[in-house]
Amino acid sequence: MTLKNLFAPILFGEAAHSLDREIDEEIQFHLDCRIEELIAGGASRQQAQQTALQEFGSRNKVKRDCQNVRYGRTFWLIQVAAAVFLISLAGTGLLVYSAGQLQGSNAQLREQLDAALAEIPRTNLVAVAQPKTTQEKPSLAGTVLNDKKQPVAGAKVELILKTWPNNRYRQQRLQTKTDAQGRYEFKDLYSLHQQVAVLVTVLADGYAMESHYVLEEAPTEAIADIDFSLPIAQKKTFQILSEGKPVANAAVFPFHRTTADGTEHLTYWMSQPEISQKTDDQGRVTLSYFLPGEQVKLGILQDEPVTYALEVDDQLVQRLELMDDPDAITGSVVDKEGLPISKATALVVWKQWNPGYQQSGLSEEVDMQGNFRLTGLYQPDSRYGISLTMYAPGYELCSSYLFDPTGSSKPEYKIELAPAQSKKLTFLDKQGKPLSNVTVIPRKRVTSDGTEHVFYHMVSKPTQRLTSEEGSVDLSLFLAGDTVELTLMSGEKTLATANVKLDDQETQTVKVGDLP
Amino acid sequence: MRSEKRPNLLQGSLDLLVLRVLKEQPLHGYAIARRLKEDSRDFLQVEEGSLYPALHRMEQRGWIEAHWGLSESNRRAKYYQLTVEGRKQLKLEISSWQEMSQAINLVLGISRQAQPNLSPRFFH
Repeated sequence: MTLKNLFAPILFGEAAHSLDREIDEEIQFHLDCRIEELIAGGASRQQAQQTALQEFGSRNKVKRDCQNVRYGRTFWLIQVAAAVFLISLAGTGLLVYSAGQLQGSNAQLREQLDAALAEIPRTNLVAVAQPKTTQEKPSLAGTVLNDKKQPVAGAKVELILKTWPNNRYRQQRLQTKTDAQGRYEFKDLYSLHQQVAVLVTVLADGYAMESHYVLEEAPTEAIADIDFSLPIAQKKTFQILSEGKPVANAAVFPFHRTTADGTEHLTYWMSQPEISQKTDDQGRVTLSYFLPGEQVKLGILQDEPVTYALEVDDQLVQRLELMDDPDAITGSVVDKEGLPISKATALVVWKQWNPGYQQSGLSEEVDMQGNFRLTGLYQPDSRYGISLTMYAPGYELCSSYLFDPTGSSKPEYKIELAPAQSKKLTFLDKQGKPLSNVTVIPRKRVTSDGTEHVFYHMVSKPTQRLTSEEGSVDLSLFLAGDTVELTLMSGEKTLATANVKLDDQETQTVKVGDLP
Repeated sequence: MRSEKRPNLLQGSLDLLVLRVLKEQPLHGYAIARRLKEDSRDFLQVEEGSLYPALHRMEQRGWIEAHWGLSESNRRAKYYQLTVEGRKQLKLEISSWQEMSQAINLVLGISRQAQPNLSPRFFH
């Protein structure tokens, strides 16, 4: 260990003092600017000072909030580690001194050293740093139930305890688990009449993560029980990717959750070692702590700590891209007014010739801004072909095909869709009998200006429709004046191909000849 | 009086506005508050209690970076400037804001004028 490494924690401590001074200086600068401005406006210095301070509000609070932002993560862990290290160093020094005084045999000295070293706590860094006092201190407790009022046993209860002894900010992390009755308790926690804040977060597999924050400026009695009623969470696996490749062995944990009504639940980075799970070889990790549609953030620790914000979808597996894949094919879809269409799916057929010819189909949903990304497809300077059909319910069905024999550039899609014509088609056979229970698959569309859109069968599932008993089907996917080619199938058997010129009426009958 | 009705910033919009102001030039905290007030013609009032923690938070997130420089009055002041990440975030915040204001307009029934069609019909 170099001297630099040895004293790194101490140096960090100095950095904290320096940071505190900087926050003070920054606030003072703000106040002075305001005072000068008020004086320039005609106020006396005394009036100006009063007004500036009033406008600014609690200077201590602003400072504390800044400190919370700065120290709310791993910093205090380093501080605690430094304290433990120094205690250990001092303890060892004392022992060596005592051993020398005793002048006993080597064996005796060794025994004493072993015994004393065993006294140095090493199981829980946070516990070591807890202040020891003989004064009685309140505990913090509560009950964790599920939304059916049944106890949730074995849930992890994370506590971030914030205190301000001698006007210095201090943050500790503690953890416990709920018992069979769903009860948890942290004993002898804080002092009455002194400012204290607690953030309690409950993590129970299969239940939504919830937290509760309480700040008491000068509590005269113990903080009331903090109880939880946890809703059932969605079973969820996240797949973490970076530049299109799985990120294995990364520690991932639930960092932030915003519920549909805007309530926020969070954990701190300090808790990361205890509450994170490692991704597997495919970059997958199961974190069932959220509900579909919620805005959440995950904490991810691989080479460096990052947070990743996302909206939880309703799928079992959700992919997260940490780093942009520079070769990702991107695009966006908007309506005629340029507003993003958020419910749309890109149906893609990808063809590549290296190594050997391959054709694959995939679908990718657009995000809330109507953007989509296709990763792991394009490779620079490799021949490719891509057919992309944009399917957005209520809008026209469009498709494009691009073939680049040299692979010199990748496509970027800007798709604008018009609202589709509301259309009900009724299919009849030669005798005028309805063709019921027949799957109608759009294969081609030629618009009135002659533009062709070809739809590949292998990705056509979302655009397929089944006829009713009357042989009718809602095919609101096109515009009046389009000519469309539709394949009619009964199970796996192709019955016919119908070419239909769509009129401007809401309903239209199609007679299909030459059925097998 | 207008000042009595002056609203505080809408929740969530502070980051957007600060990033936008810093897009043009590095500024210290006091100047950021002034710029927001001036650019909104005195309509928006930034609470210092929110501004400074927000600046520190954005710095932690890597959206802005800070350095100590000399102010107009020749005093040491902490200047903030936008990073590459911050520029990306600003784009995101703007699009989220547009989305939200469009949604609110829809609910309020404030019609939106049709935009001229500038983008190609479909990319080939």
